[in-house]
Amino acid sequence: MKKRIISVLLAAVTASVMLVGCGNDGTGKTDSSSIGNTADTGEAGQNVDSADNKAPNDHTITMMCWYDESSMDSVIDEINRQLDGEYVVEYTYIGVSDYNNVLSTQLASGEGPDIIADGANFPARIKAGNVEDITDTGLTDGFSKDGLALCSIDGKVYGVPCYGWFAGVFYNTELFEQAGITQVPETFDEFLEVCEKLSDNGIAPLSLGLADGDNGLHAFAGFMESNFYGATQEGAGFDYDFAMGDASMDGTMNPYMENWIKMVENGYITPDMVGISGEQAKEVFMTGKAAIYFTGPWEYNNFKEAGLSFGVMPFPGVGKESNYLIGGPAASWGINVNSDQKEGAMKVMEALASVEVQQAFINENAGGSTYREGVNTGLPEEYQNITDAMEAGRIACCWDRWSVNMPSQSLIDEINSQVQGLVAGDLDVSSFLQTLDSKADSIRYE
Amino acid sequence: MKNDLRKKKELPYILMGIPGVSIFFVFFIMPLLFTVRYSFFNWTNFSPDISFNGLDNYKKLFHDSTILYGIKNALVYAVVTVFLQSLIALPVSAALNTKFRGRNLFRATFFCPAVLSTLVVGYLWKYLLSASELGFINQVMNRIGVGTVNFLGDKRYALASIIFTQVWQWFGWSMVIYLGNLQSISGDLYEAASIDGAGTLRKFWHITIPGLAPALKINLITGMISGLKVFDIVISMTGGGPAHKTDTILTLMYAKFADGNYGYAAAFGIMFLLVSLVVSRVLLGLFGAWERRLGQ
Amino acid sequence: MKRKNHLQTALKYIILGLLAIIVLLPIYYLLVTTFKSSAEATMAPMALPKSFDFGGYAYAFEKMQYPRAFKNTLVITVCSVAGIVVCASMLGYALNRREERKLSKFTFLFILSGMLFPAQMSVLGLYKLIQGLHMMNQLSAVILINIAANMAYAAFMFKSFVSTIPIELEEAARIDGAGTLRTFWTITFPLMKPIVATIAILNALTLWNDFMTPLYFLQKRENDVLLQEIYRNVGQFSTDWTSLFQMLVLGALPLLLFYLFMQRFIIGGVMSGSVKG
Repeated sequence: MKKRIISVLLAAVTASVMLVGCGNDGTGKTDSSSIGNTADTGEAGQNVDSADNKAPNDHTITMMCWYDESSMDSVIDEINRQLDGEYVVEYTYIGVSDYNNVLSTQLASGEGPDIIADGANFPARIKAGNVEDITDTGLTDGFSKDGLALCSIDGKVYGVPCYGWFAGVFYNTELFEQAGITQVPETFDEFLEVCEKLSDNGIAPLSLGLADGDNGLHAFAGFMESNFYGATQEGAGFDYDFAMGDASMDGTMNPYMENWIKMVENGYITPDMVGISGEQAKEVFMTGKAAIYFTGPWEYNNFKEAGLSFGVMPFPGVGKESNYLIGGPAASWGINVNSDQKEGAMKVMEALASVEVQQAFINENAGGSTYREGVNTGLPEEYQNITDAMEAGRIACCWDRWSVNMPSQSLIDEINSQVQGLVAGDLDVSSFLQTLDSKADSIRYE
Repeated sequence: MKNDLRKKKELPYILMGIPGVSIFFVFFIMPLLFTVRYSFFNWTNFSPDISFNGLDNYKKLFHDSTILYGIKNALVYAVVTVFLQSLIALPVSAALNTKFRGRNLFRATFFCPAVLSTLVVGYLWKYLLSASELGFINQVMNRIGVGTVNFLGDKRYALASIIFTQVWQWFGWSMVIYLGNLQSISGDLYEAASIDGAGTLRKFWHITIPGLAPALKINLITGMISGLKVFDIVISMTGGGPAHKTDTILTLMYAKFADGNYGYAAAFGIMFLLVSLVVSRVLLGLFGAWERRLGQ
Repeated sequence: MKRKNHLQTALKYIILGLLAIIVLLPIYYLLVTTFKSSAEATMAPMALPKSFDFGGYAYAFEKMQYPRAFKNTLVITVCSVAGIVVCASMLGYALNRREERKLSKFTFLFILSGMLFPAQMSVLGLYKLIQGLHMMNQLSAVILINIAANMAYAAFMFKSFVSTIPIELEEAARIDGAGTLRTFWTITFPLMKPIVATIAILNALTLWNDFMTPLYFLQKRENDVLLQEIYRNVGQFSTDWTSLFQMLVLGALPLLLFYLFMQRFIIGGVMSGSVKG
């Protein structure tokens, strides 16, 4: 009996030794990439030359981002069309809640895709020395200064943006009508009244998935933008001081958060939502089971296809004139310094910066703004309630402002996680803000 | 001359030891020393220089409220999981130690989840326990009128749910270890006890349990240590949520690592080492005392 | 008396049967759901699927780049296990047969320290080391890490097992002129089959299912393992979970099959591996 086991084991060993044999041929091309990113230690990484081991897929340029494949299809097609077979782009989707972890660990090991995409953490990637300087390439010529905000540091440019994202309050117009709501709320108090009316009519006012994703973040940051940052004297300069470590959230934001928490106290945001994922919450809104969902233009096409009739409004604050959308440059794209396909990566960057690809991004994210000259944006009719805010430039978000002195994504993750505690009733407003302060303390660069 | 001959005789043994010892040294001991060293350095992904900063990382550690949760969760998880596993595995193994039809089938069934990877088990149970309408358990609970329970989103149930799945997965493993031990307890002891008129329970308590000392020791100590190392199941089921309530030492360490805070993450590692050393010392001490008592 | 026995037996069957149902139900649910649409899964979660459509599996198979990921997992597991068995058996043998030497005593204590420290704590130092050796993203890095992390326990087990093998057998071979190494491989090692099987099975189970080491050290998709493929693909299926389930099944299938055929050896391995340790 034991004999049989031994012989099976032996067979397995032999088989896998043979596999290692072919494995080496196959991986030779991949081992070659540099073990870079050791600049931080002074042990210079070396590029191990791999010229003798060219594999057939040498023309593949890898890209990775948190936009799902269906919304990237036309963008990738357009890039590949421009590359004209010389190179081929391979796109990988990673869910937004894992994206930071996955990309960070890849970059830390000197790997990662040829083209790096990141949002609020793009400045952090530049600081870490992960992204190529493209200042003198002329790639960014057609872009506005605002759009390059996250890709430039100290006068040098490291990437191109794709479009201007925003997130606002999406609402189901049919359900609003059913509840007899004729006017979209303009102040936070009116917003609470609307929620009350909806629940009086047996309609769930809000759908939020707080188990993962950014719903919690948007709920927090959106209301802060309209009620604090954009609406008060104190709020205007707060984030710079906060980023530098000269101001703290606890002691400043408390009165505004006391207001925010009313959504929980009144039962519009419920502890149940902590067990629901963002995707599930979206499903609930899309199938007409809840009236309001916080999201952005990347869902526009999904909602349309689901046959939903909807509108969008800015986050309600003190009044129509100071209501904000949150947003800024969406993913910025740059070349991985450790890419062994610099030439091809550069070609892809040229494509990414082209009017056609930028237009494709806009088409996939209807209502997003562009930073590129020559790209047509049209606001679909659903967006009529936010045109004022957009034209007045009332689109901003706190974490872009934090990124001057911290990898904002870490604090974003912390907000998403602490909102869970706030909603579940484990944290009061003050301890919620304290946890964010102490997280910020632990990640500032200086 | 004689010395040379002796050396020649020793040489093959030394050569045989070298591969194992050198791999162990390079890939186990050296990283350990590296980690100790880096825990005293300011090493991040965001700054080009790496500098000695003394005890700063450790000071930070003591001001980090999440770490207390991490240690507490890991300990609670380890203790409760180990306890429940044995609580189920002991009587089951006693039952399976008698001869009856289907015994091997039961044994194979109970062990089966242990060959699944913990990550797969985690994702499976995440969906089974989901609070949304897709969650099977909640469908059943709604149908019988209990109502929806937010297993993974409510801090009161989240850790308990994780523990439940791990008991489900691993009690079969403990059971097999107990079974192996039971088979080595001599039947004579039971016969003698029967002659003295001892009942099933008394026999279990006075013969089986002391006889199981080796297996108990293995199950408790390895269970505790691997319990402290819990990682996969948390990542797959809750990601540490809600609000860090199910974060453990290793998930926190991974988060610091992903933040690019390497020096700080190293300090977490050292912290983890200290906790597990204390736990295994305490356990070994307790068992030593028990075994001495049995020996008397 | 006899009646009481019948009752006891019935009770035993009922309790064990219930427990078996609790154990098997989730696995059954996982399997049948993979053949259902989302709607069908919600409507009749426990029913057998209406039809067996393997299209979902084909999709998951492709999405996970299954053959490649499977190959990587297999190579890592088998090479690690082989490495552990070869290195630890020689080391355990040398330590036992030269037990009274100072060097042996020191080495043994040194190795034992490996059972005290969990390998996970030194992941940061390991990271730095692997970077420095230019071994990042190579299967061999994970293999060597696995061998090192499991060396202590295996060497310890081999050392105690060798003491049960009478030294006279080896001496007979020596007289015939065989050297120490040859004696070990031709005489002693074949006698160690039971412990080899135990060590191999225990390590194969844990290493196949190991997620953390590949997660840190294999960052290139070409080199990742099955579990990483599942982890990578989970995000996009948080609603379309019937597709996710196929990936879970594909991820678990190899070991389940292995278990199905080798069940008695696996359980036997766990049994003997643990109690002696």
